[in-house]
Amino acid sequence: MTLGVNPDENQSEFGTARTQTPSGYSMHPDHEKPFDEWAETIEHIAVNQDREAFTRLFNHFCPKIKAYGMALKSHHTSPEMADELVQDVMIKVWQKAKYFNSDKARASTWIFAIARNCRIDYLRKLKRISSPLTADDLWPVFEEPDPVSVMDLARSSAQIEQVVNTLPAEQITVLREVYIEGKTHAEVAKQTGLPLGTVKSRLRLAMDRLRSALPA
Amino acid sequence: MTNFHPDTKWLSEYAAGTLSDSQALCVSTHFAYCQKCKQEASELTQLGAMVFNTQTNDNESAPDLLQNVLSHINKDPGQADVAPPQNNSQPVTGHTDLPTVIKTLIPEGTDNLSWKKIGPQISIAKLSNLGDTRSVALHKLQPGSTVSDHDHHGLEITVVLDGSFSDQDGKYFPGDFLVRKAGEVHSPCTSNDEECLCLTVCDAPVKFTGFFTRLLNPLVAYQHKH
Repeated sequence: MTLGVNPDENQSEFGTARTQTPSGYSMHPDHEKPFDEWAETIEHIAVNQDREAFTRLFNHFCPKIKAYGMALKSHHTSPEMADELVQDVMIKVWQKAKYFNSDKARASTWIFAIARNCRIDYLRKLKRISSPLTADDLWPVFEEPDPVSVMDLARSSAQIEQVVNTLPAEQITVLREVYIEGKTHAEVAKQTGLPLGTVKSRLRLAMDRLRSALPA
Repeated sequence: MTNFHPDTKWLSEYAAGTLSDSQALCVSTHFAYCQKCKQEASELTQLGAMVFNTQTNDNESAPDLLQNVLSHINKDPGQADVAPPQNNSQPVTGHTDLPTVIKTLIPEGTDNLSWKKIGPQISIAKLSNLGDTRSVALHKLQPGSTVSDHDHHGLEITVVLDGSFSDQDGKYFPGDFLVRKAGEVHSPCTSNDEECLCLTVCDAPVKFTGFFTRLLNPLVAYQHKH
């Protein structure tokens, strides 16, 4: 903990407003594989409102968002809900593209965070829960980032991509239950019969593996 | 120990979006003071995104959904900005150096809340419930006060917002995140020269049974360390 930090400065996990054209941008389809091609695409959409680029982004992420919607272990889950989620998320991606900054987040992390928040808000709507705070208030995605938290993610993007292939199946299973199926650690422990501590330690092990691929 | 933080379980449940709203409020408030936990949550979000990214049913195209989205953004191409205009009629007074999420929750400021004295040196302002059943409140302890030994029901989270307090386990400063379970008894006290403001979230249902006893149990602590 740091004392004396002005708490008002930011609340954001990722991203910042971007108003200028990213330099050196190239949208050639046969562009040699960039570090995070979807990050470039989002930045391009922010600047040029390019619907063709947006369509490519949509076609890539739509199945992932839909699968994320369908994976939620809830009696509210349905193909209709998953379709709504895809639309909510992609409209938001379009509207907030200028807040995306590839220095701070990978495209998939940013879109995952948006999907998470949309899924939370959507469930609230279905359950007719009203709250003075939206998911974006509690899980900020679009505000000013902390200058201290700058990480050059793009550079290590390829390694991050590989991490998931190196994890043992038991860790992947826990990750999937926690992040995609939306279960608490206690629910995972109860349903799998694993001790609560094991759920946490599998997550930590996966986290350590990811960290080793992140820039120091 | 002086600094207390949410552990990996809390941070990963935050990153996964499975914490309840009121618990997410506490974690999010803590991030305003703690870069390290915020960074860890951000990494834990990347971990989730990694799994999100491996989900495959790539053959499934959704031209109708794409058309809906395109027609929506054609109607509203302006990439609408956030930051709604603030129109607070009352002047915001009291503790002003608070995290954004708290300011969003209480735009009127701490002085304009309805404070109730629940002891000679302790006041409570109940805040509106979020999307769950836990009760959310601010507690204010006068300088030099001691809350007598107390126990409580269910899980209670405290995040220090201003000032400090201490108990037998340590001294707590702004941003410190404390969880105390039922059965963990302590008696917090503040220093002589400053009042202490805390955010508290407790599991007990918002019913007025046992009202007084429960409200005397605001500052409950169980350290979650890294």
